[in-house]
Amino acid sequence: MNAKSCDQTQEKLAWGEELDPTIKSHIAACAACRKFSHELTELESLAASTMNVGVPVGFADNVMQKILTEKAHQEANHWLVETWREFTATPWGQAVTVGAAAILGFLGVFQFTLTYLLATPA
Amino acid sequence: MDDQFIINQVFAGNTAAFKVLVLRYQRPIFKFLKSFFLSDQVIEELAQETFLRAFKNLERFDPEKASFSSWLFTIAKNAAINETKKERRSLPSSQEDITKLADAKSSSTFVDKHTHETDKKKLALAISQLPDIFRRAVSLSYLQELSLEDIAAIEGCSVGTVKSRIFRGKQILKDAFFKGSLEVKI
Repeated sequence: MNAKSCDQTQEKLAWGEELDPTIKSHIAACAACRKFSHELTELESLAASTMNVGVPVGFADNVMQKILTEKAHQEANHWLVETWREFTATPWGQAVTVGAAAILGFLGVFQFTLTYLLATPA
Repeated sequence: MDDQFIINQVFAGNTAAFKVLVLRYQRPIFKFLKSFFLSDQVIEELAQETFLRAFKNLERFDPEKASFSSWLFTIAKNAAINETKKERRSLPSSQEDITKLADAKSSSTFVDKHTHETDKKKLALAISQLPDIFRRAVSLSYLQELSLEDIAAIEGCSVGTVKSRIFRGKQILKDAFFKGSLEVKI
């Protein structure tokens, strides 16, 4: 048999492509390609059962549950961020933000000074 | 209903429509992840992660570049590769194991069912020993849901390269299975 025809035939068999009449007649006449085809078919059916895996019951429901939970969190976070933005855009909100920042800054300086004084030997 | 129609539904606010995609692809994704020889629990976690990531990044999916299935399998592949980097595959791996299994088959006096189980183990072992690029190409081709173009998109290479990997991979598998040899020459 022509080695080139055998190569082409075996490649097409491995790729799972539809076989044209020329290839089919080659397989019918070539023992090596028939053997190749038979072995590939055997491997494929065995692979199908080897790779067969059961999907756990309720898998899709679990995935959707997680997606919906995550989406709800994202929406809640989005709402908080948006509300905060709107709040800080008002004069009242800006005053509260500056006041809160000033108090936090004061507390920070106070704590630092206290720690420094306590750590320094008299 | 094609995939794009469902994706459009999700974009329109119908989140529940995504379940159709999960139901459609859950089995192929599980099968594909199984080819990485991970535990059942890890396979389930990775499959879940795959669908969650797909949902989160759905806006990034470009139907002009790839089909939804190949995009989804790419996510699964990356998740599985990261996982296998974390935990080494726990497999019987020596040439001796393959030879033993080959001998077991040839001298077997067990019933057909037992022979079939032995064959399955032998094939799983042979697949596990394929180099990664061949193993993925062969596994993806065995899934049958994917075209060569889809596999090329998942692997990020040309169709020609995919064809060559599938052919070479199946040749190695065939030799390993029927002759009990696994001499991989890349």
